[in-house]
Amino acid sequence: MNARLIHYGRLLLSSFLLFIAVITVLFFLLELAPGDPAQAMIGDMPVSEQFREKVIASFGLDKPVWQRYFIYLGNVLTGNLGYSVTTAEEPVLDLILSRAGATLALALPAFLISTIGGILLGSIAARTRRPWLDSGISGLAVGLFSVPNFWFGMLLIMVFSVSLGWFPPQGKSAYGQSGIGLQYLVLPVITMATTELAYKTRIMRSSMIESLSQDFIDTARSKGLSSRRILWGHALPNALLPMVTISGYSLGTVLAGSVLVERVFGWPGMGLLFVEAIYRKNNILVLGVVIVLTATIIVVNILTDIVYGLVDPRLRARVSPKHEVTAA
Amino acid sequence: MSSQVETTEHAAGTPLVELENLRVVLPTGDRSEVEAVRRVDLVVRHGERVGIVGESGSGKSVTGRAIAGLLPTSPRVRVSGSIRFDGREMIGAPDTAWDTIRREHVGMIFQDPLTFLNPTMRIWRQVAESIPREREGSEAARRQAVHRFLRQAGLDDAEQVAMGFPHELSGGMRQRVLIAIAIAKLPSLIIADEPTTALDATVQKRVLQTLDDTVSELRTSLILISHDLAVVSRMTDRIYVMYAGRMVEEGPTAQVMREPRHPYTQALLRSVRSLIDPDTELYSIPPSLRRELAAEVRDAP
Amino acid sequence: MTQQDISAGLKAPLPKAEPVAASPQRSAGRHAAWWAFARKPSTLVLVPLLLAFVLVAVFGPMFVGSPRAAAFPRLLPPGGEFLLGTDMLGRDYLARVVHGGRISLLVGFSVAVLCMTFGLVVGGLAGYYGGIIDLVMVKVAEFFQVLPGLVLAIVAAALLGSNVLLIVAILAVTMWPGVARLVRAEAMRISQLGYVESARAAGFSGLRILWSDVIPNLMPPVLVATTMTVGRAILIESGLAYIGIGDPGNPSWGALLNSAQSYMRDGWWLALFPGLCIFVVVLAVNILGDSLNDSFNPTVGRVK
Repeated sequence: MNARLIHYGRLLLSSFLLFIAVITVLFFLLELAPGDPAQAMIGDMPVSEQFREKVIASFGLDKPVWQRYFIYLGNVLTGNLGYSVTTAEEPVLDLILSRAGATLALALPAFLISTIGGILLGSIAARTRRPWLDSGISGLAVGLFSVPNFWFGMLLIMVFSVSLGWFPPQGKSAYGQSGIGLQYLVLPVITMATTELAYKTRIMRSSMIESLSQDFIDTARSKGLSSRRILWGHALPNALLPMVTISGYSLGTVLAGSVLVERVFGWPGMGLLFVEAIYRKNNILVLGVVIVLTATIIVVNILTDIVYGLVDPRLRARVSPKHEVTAA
Repeated sequence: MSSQVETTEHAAGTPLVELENLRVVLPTGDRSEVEAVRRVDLVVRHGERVGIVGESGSGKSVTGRAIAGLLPTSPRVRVSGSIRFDGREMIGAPDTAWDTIRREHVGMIFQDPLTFLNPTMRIWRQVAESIPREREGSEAARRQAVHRFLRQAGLDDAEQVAMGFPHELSGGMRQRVLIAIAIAKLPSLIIADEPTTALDATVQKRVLQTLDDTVSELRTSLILISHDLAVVSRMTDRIYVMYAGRMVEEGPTAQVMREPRHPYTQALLRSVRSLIDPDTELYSIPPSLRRELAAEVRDAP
Repeated sequence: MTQQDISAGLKAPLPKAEPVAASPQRSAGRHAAWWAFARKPSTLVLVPLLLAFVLVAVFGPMFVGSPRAAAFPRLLPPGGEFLLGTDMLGRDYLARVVHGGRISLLVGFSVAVLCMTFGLVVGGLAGYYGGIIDLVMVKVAEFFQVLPGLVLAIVAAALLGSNVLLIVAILAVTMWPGVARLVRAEAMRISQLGYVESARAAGFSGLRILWSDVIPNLMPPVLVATTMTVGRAILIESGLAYIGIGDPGNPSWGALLNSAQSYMRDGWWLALFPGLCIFVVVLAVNILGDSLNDSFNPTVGRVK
C-alpha cells in the first residue's frame, strides 16, 4: 500500500510543479510582450480608466517583476484569471467555464468515437487474414492522419452543407434557440473525431500486432484454443493496456484541436473564444484559456494514471513476489 | 533418477509420434528463408521418453513445435514429409485435426515462464483453459481440478497461487504453472522445450524432478528438448542429436553417452565433460570439425 | 526463441575462425534496409513527388504571376487562363498557392531539421549518459505534453508578434522533445548492446563510442521521427496561419484557408487547393516515414 501512496504523492506533486512551470512560462511570455505590463495584459482595446485601475490593482502591475510574478501566481491558483477586456469585463474564469459546455459537447463524443473506432479498426487490421483489409484500413488511417482537420471540416461543409444541404454549415443551434441542435453536432464531431480516430487506429494496430507476437500466445495456441478465444481473451486485453495511456493524452489533443474546429463551424465554445480573444488581442483571456486547458489536461493525466494502475495487474500487486515454497 | 520404458500393448504397435523426412522451411526476413529442419526422422512410442539434444539453431525447437502444431502461421512456412500421430498423417490434415491434437493430446512446456504466461490473466484461468470443457463442466469443478493440477506440479499453496498473477510468482513457480497447464489436458505426449534453461541451477533440479514425477504418474510420453546434455541424459530412454537441422545420431541414451559414434556427439560429450571434470582442459568444438560438419550438412541428399 | 534459432541457424553451418565483430554486421544490415526502402514502390513515387513540390516552391514564384496583384476579375472558378481561378480580391490563385507553398514547406523542413539536430544531440546524450541531462529532458517533454505545442505557439505569437522566424523557433522548441524522447529510448537500448559494452571495456572514450557506434545506429529511427516531424510541423503551422497567426504579407497555405473560410459557398476552389496541397505533402511525408520505419524494423510477416 505504501508504494502506491508514494507513487500518487509524487504524481500529484510533479503535476502541481508542472502547472506552476506552465504559469511561469506564460508569465515570462507576457513580460516579453512589448509595452508596459498593463498594456500587455489589456491589449490594444480602448478601456475605461476604472477597468484599467482594477486590473492594475488586482495584478499588482505597478510593482516590480518578481512581485508581479507571485501575485500572478497567487491569483491564478485562487481562480482569479483576470477580467476580460471585451465581454463586459467579465471575470475570465467565469467566461471560460460558461463556454466549456459547448466544447465538451464536441470533445466527448469525438473522444468516444475515436477511441472505440480506433480499437475496432486497429484490431481488425492487425488480425485479419485478408491483406487488402489491413492495407485498406492502414491506408485510410495514414490518410486521415495527414489531413489538416480544419480543412477536412471545410470540405465536409462544402459537400454536405452547401452542396447537399444535409446539415447546417455553422453554429450550434438554430437562430434564437439555446442549447444544441443535433444536426448541428454531426459535422463538427466528425471533424474532431477523424484525426484522432486515425491516430488511435494506427496505435491499436501496432499494439495488437505486438501483443499477438508475444510468447504467451504460443501457450494459448498450445492449449488448442480457438483463434477467436486467443484474440479476445489473450491478445486484446494486453493490447488495450497502452491504449489507456494513449486515450488519456488524446483527450488533451482533442481539446486543443477544438480551437481550430470551432472556428470552422462557428461553434461557440472555448476554442472560438480563444480565437476571438487572439484576434482582438484580449491577452488576459488568451492566457486564461490556456491555463484552464493546461489544468484540464493535467487532471486528465492524473486520472489516466489512476485508471491504468487499476487496470494493469502488474501494478495492482500488493503482495511482494512469493518465493519458491515447495519441493517436488 | 532412472526412467522406465513401459512396454504396453502399444509399444509393439503404432508409435505415438512418427516423423519421416520432415522438412521445415521458415522465413527469416522480407525475402529470405532458412531450412530449419532437414529430413528428420524421429519416433516416439507410447510411454517412451525421448530427448532431442543440440545447440542453438540446430532445429530441435522447431521439430518440437512441428509435432505440437505450433509453427508460425505465416503462409511462408513450409512443412513437408510426414508427421504421423498415432498412425494418422497430420501433414495436410484439416485444422480441426490439429486443433484436437493441441487441445487433447499434446501438452507443451515452454522455456521462459515469464513471457509464456499471460501477464493480465489470473493463474487459475490460464490453467483452466487447458482443461477440455467436456471433462469438467461447472466452474467449481474446474477450479478444483486446477488446484489438483497445481499441486501435482509441485505447488502446495495451490489456492493462493491460483488466484494470483504470473508476476507474483518466482521463476520456478511459474515453470510449475506451465507444467500444470501442460498436464491439465491429460495429454498422451508432453513436449518440454528447454524447460529449465531460464531457471537458477538449484531450482532447475527441483523442477526437473517434478517433471520426471508427473510424467511417470501420468504415464505420458515425453520429448525433452535441450542443449543441456546432462539434463537430457538423465531423464530419457532414447536420445536424438541434432545439428544444423539434421539428425546426426540417435540411440538408447545410455549407449549414446557411452559410445558416441558421430564426431559431433563426441565433441559435445567432450565439452560437457571438460566443464564437469576439473582435470580436463576446457573443450570447445574446433573450426575444423565445424567445417566438416558444414560440408556434411550441405552435401547431404 | 524460434527467431534466435533461425538466426543462429543461419550462422552455424559456416566455418567461423574468428569472432564476428557486431558493428560490421550492423552496417551491412543498415545498407540492406536502405536498399529495401529505396526499392519500395511508394518511395519511388513519393520522393519525386516531394521533390517536385520543393522545386515548385523554390523556383515556381519566378514563373507564375504576382500573388498580390488584384488585377483580375474576382472569384473566377478554375479553368482557362487561371488554372486555379482567382480569389475574392481578383488575385491569381495559382500564384498565391505557389507562393504559399514556399512558406509552408520552409517552415516544415526548417522545424524538422532543428528538431532533428536538437533531438539527436540531447536525446543521444541523455540516453547514453543518463543522469541530469536525462532528467531535464524528461521533464521538458512532460511540459510540452501538458501545454500543447499548438496552444503555446498561439500564445507566443499573439504576445510577441508573428513572423516566420518566430514561428519556426516556437515550433522547433515545442517539437524537439518528441524527437529527443525517441532518440533517448533508442540510445539507451543501443548503449546496452554487447558491442558497446565491450568497446567501453576496451577503453574507448564515451564520445568516441557515441560517434562511431551509437549515432550511426540512431540515424534510422531519428530519420523516421524527423520525417514525421515535417508533417506535423506543416500541419501545426497551417493551423496557426488559419487562426490568423502568420505573416500577412506572405500567406502560407494555412493563411489562404483562413481567407477562404468566408467563401465556402461562393468560392469552393479557394478552400480546396491550399488544403489539398497540405494534404498531399503531409501524406507523402508520413507514408515515407512509415516505409522507412518498416524497412528498418521489419516484422517477419505476421507470425502466429
